[in-house]
Amino acid sequence: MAMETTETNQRSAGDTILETEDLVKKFGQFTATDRINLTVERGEFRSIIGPNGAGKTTLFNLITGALPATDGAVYFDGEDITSLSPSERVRRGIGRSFQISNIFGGLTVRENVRLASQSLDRDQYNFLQSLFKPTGRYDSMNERTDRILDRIGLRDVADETADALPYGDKRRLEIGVVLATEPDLVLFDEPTAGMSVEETQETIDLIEEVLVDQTLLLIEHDIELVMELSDHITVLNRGEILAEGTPNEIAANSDVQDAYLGGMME
Amino acid sequence: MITGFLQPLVDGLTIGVVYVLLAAGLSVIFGVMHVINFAHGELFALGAYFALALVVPFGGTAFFAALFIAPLLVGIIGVAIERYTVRPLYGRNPLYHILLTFGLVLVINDLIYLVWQPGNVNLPVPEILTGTINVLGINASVYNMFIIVFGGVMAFAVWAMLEYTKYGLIIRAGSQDRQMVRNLGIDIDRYYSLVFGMGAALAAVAGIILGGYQTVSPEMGMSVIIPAFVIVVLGGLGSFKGAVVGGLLVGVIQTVLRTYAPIFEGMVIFLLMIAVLLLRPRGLFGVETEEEGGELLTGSGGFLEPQTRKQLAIGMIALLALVPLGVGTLYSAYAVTLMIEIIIWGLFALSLDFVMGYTGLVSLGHALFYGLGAYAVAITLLHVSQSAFIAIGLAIVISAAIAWFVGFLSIRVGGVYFAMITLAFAELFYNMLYRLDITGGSEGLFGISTYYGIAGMGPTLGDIGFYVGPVALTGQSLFYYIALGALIASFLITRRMLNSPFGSVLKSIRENEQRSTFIGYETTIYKRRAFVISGALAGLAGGLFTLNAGYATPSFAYWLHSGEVIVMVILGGMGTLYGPIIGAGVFFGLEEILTGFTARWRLVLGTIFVLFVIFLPRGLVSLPAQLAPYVSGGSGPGPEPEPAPDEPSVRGDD
Amino acid sequence: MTRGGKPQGRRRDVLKAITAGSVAGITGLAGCVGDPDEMENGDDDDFDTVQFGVLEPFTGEFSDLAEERHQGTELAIEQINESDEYDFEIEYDDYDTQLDPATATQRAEQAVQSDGAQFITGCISSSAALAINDFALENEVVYTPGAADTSITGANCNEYVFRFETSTAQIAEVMAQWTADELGDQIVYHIADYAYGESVLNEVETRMESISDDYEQVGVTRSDPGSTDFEAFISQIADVSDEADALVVGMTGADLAIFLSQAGARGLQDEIPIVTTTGSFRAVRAGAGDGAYNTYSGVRYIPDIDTGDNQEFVEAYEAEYGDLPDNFSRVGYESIRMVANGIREAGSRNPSTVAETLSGMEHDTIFGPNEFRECDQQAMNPVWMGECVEPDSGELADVELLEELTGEEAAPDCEDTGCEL
Repeated sequence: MAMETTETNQRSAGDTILETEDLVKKFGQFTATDRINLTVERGEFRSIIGPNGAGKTTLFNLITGALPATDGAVYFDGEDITSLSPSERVRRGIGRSFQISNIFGGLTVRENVRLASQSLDRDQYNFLQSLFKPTGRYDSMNERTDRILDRIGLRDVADETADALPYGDKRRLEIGVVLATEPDLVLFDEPTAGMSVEETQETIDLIEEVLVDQTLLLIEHDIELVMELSDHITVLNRGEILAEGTPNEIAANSDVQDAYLGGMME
Repeated sequence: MITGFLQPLVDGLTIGVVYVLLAAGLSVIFGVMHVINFAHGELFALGAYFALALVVPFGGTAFFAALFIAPLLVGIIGVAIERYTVRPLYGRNPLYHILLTFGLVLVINDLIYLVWQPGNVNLPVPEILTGTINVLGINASVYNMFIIVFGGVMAFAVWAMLEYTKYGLIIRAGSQDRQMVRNLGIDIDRYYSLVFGMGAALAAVAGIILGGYQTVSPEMGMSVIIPAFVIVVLGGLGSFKGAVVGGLLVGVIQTVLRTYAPIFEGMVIFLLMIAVLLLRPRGLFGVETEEEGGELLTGSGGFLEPQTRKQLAIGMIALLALVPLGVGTLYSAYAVTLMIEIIIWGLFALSLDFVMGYTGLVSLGHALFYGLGAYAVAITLLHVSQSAFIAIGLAIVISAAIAWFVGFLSIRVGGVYFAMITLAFAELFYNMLYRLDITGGSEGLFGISTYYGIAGMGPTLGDIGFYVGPVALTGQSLFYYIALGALIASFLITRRMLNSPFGSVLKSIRENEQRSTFIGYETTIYKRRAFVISGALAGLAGGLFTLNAGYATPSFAYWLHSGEVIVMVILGGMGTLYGPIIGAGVFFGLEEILTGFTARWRLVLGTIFVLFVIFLPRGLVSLPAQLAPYVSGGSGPGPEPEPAPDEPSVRGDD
Repeated sequence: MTRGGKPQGRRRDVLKAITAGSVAGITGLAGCVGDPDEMENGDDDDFDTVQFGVLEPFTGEFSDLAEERHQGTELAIEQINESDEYDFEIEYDDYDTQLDPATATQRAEQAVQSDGAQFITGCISSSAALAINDFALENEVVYTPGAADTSITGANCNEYVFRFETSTAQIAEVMAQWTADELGDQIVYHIADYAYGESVLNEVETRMESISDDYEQVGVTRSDPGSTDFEAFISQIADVSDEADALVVGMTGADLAIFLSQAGARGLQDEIPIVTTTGSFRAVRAGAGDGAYNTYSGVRYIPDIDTGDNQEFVEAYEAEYGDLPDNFSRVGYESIRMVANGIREAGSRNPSTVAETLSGMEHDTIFGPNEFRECDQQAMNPVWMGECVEPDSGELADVELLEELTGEEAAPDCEDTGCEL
């Protein structure tokens, strides 16, 4: 029931891809995010860090539309997307990966990717086609699916059930699924949680490899990883932005140092 | 007819208090264990019958003793039910509770018939509670006052227990967030027996005091279970406050309307529930929690290899096509009649599976569409055209249109709430059938005839015979092929759809709706489309029935039929399309065999359901896979009834 | 419950036998269309047995009534099979219709197609009976229904349906006459809001109007069928009890029992005379308890009456089941006997032949001389008005008869039935 907003509230975009304006989310009395103003440049690798309960996942949910905002606005590519449904935001180019490996467990690897790929050009065929023409006969969709399977290195296991994959491959698959929606901006919620050191490295390599053209927004607890990868870092604390800057600036920021970083890196 | 406002209020509170006691237990069971307990009404009836057994030999004064002993006994039965039947199901798809408690309804109800005589019996109450009192112009019987006071005290006691004891705290916390309670190191599962037993005892109390007010009959459980569910949902799952407010509200509104606008009496609770759920999708006092309450999970797909499945299917169809040829030599014409029934219900079950098995929408009101199709055919044939094709076409179109409307309003709420809102629509329709002239009121429409053609050209089935060798195919046998053709066509069309982009989105919703949303699908739209297709097919099933039988009655849209078709789907195996057809066959086959053997067939059928859920939880289609280890050579696994990994119990939630 | 499955005289078997030789390919309608109705069942006058299908709602709400009716049916069959007066034996199977017309027709089909029944009997609820009405016509089997709905031998009648159950129209006749004579013509009604309740209202009203020029309907309240709470209606009725001479209640079964029980608790019986259609049924009296006391009811049957061979029936019934028969027992009993008389008279078990014979045929019944009259095939039963009174011992109210109408007096005029036979 997405309501297409005809309003094209053009912001002076420049190279800003995502901007939030005084974004507030309240659960009853509890304020999860409090007037967040976040600006992300195109092509940037931005990380969001902060202690548990700082409002990181809530912020993601507001940007992707999983939760309605209590107040404030979200702009993507200069357009106000605050009232758009999650799926509409995906179509505009916001992709999302989840904390828990979030794939279609009972379907094959290929179907997982194909579904995402299908979402991309679902407007290109008519209603009857979409009801009756078997998925195997959509050539461009299937070619794209194969290309992505190659890129994430899962072509060999394409016909296996996703649930049967080892954990690391499931994460790869999920990244492939996100990639197949051809997003401009990808939000990663702890993509390496629960992984061994090698798996973490592989995943990071994969992200850097396949999503090199995309703007990336990352929630991550592993500070070293964040320092190594990010162009900019935003530190959240109690629903507010505590600090923002390059890894070096954040490392040098005494507020973050004193109040937070030290504690976290214990 | 002027009645003071106080009078309906007192009258309404009387029934309202009974509703409160009934709904409180149901709501807490619902909230803490996520069990949709259809058997709650039977426990209510059991309470009344236990009291009857105590009061009749010892006279009216034993009533007070019965008021405590009977609930205790029912409470013990409740604990036993939880421990031996519900417990093995925890962690499994909550849908199986529907089948389980449906089975328990059959078992308990038939036991009541077995032990006590059928019919309405008066439950004598003590002298002291008879007579009337007249205060402030209100004329109320002493017994009504007793109900209000005693019921009020009981409700208050339960509230105090929930509010001020440690048990109460844990139960309340459990109905908010089960996982959180577990995380605190509390073994909440231990409390389930207690909760179930307490709920059962409360239901028994309600049964006794209502039994003294009305009469006691084996049907009393059936008559209260739907209002009780409505109240629970209205108030919010798991909310005691909701049960109290909902119960009193429904009691009073029903009574007041009965006085001032009786036409709405039967519909008001459903209209109220629809309105509340549309405005507050979690009921009046339901709260938004991290753990989605009332989530019903979906089917888990097929078990057979595609190749085997195809061969089996072709074999089955060939076999089915031969059925009418054996009439008179191998079996009587009744075999064809029975098969037509199975085919039509198979089609109905398939239609439900398309939404239930693939998108997780458990429609507890699918009989609405079946009835709609039946009446559309009946009314078309009587008033518009006698052409079977036009009638069936209209039935499909009308069912689809109404399904779109119902879906538009209902699909925004999920899980149990969706089940209840569809139930409400079906009950409204059922009520409407009763009242409208064009639907023939409570009797329905009879004496409908048709021909197979268009614009007045075409034969009736009674006029033609096909002669295949020595066998004549006429009437019923010809219709058999029409029904079989409709079933096969529907199966092929839906299967084709599932292989299309549309269908693959449905499958993705079944697997993981959240992920589906975040790769860009507006899942609501897909669910609604699936619901429309499902409604159209259900309408086709109902239409075919009326086309053949020549009549339509309101009972087609009765909620029990919605329940039965869910049972068939679960019995056969959800999310497979062919499983539900098998389920329909088994359902009718069992009924056919059992009714021939014993008058207590409902007891046996119910027991089979209960055992089935516990030991073969994934439907009949999983039987080959389960038997395989034993067939293919000695060392089968232990009696582990369910391979865990495939169970789609992991739902990502952030 | 045995399942015989004796394939004698079934239409479709005969049809098959006759057409066995005619081979036609399925090449198009023209080549293979035949007319099954050409092959009519020939009269079958050499037979030892006839097959009955007994269809009752053995499970569900009406199961007690079903059992009651079934005992009457069984007793009649037993007597006929032992008697020398009938040179055939009745064989029968039981079928559980539950409460659903769809199940009822399913079972009827089983009885006729699978077990070869030529005669079917049973069904308590109107919609099930109406569904079987159609079925009987279509399958050309004789049917004796157990429901009182006027339209069964009215607008929906057909030549295969014969009803010994007393119809609502007959009961309304005695209720209206007696009420107008003894209580007055200012009437308030409470009815269940479905076909039965509406038909009681209509039948009583039209008769009241023709009896008294001053007749007035003081008010009507309607409750949903299956209601269990009548407090609000009782309050409303109590409010107008001063203006009205009597309350006519158009409900039956559990609805009526619960209504009377709640009315009793509120003392409504003391404020206004309550007149019911079926309050004399034992099941209703048992359910209503002391709520049944001091109410009036139309009476279709009570065991006490001294008509025809009723007392012999009551004795035999009591000897067999240790209990007195009630309305449904006598319907089951006499329905079988009358059909058996028809078979004997016709000398055939062909249902069409028997149906022709039965229409208008004279019988000696528990109500004395009786017939399924030709114009609607409804039995010409007498009806009574009765009062339910507190018994000398026990809880169950006694029924005392107040007035009797003969079959002739009670039956509606043929033109008014809506039946065209």
